[in-house]
Amino acid sequence: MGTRTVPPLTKQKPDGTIYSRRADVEGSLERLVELPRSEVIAALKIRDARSDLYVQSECVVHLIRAARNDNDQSYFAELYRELMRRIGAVLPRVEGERSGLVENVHAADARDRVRDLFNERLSVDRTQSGSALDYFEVMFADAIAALRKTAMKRATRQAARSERIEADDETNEPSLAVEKAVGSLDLKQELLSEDPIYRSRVVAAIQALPDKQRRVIEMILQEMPIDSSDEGVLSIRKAIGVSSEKTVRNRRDAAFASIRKALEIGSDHD
Amino acid sequence: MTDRLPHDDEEILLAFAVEPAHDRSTLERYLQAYPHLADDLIDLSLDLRLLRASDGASASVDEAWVEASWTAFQSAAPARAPAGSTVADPFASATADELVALRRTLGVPSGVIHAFSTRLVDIASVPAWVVETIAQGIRATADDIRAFMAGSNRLATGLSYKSDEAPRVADGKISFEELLVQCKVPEEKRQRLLEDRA
Repeated sequence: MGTRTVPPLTKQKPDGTIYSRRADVEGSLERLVELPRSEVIAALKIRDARSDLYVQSECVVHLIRAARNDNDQSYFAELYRELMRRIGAVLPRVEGERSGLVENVHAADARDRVRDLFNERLSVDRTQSGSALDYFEVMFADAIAALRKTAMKRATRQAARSERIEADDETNEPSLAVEKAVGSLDLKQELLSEDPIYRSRVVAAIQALPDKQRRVIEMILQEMPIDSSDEGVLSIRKAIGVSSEKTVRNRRDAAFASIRKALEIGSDHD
Repeated sequence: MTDRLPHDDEEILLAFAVEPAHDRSTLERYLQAYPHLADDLIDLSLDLRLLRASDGASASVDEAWVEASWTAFQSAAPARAPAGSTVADPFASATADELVALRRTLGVPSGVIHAFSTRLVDIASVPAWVVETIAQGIRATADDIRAFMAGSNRLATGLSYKSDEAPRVADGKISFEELLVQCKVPEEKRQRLLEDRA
């Protein structure tokens, strides 16, 4: 023993440095690769992410890659199934009983597409070891979110999406009620609420916004200025490519009004 | 309408996703570097934020989907075949008509299709959309094709290249571009086929 059993990643960042795993992932891997496979499979059953024995998704990716050169099909199958569970867990939920809803069809479709993109990389990795899956050993959930973005982008070409009707925010004046509603909502705080059910309602309210409004909300949360006369400063107006800062304000105001409304409606029903 | 994201865009989004911090400076850096991906980067930035906020929410496991995924993966990419012989040959069940139709769809001479069925071409050098087109043409999946093509070259008898070099066998696979040149696919057509539309 004493030799390094977990090979480093090989994917290069644009600056030429190599990606590396998180320290906790490295630590777990060093332990996992020494375990008999039966114990690895047993550890995969642990669902509580806070448990010391929980196998992080990044580790599952590594283990399945490391199984590249052997023929233990049942071990590979267990790892593959677990990876699918992990993919499903970090994507928006697909509700069986609401399967007829448009959002749900999209969610199910997106999940399949993400799986297919992942499979593509996994197949490449199985035939010729490379760096196609390195991102997933760095930050699994985040990398899956990126694949979902790609998958959805591709899907818009094929699926006739039911576009939400968006107000003509280039010209419309926000109503007084909307203006008033903007003031006191601190979304960052709302997203940090200790109540996971409340947090999930805030998340759902943001996700339900039209794309244009959602983007403005993200940039406001990043504390980007709405507009700036300084050429060197990237403002929201410049980033989304609109001519007037009023457009940005209108989108922000409409978004906040919708979120408030959604949260208030939610509280009545719970 | 936006076309399919090129493979590079997928890489950019992945690189952004695994950045150690998703603060304003990181987002701005990517927005400045890749303005054509502005919408996607902002969306992804928010997705990652919401992902953190959803942490701890219990996700029920959809075992039916997990099982269906495994079955599909297994049939698409059967266990590694050390001898390269137990992987199903997706070309075996293709009819002559299908192969002709495929040749026409891609607008290539039959030698190109032949190089796929004999595993002469290095599949990694073939744009994903071409693999997809071939898969559809012979009622297979892209994974079927990839799994099959991963095996070693089995240069068919009767195939001859009008080249000074003898056709290379075993591991001597040739790139898709080399193949198109050898099969005398005109330059313009070649560029179109080599386009990465993934």
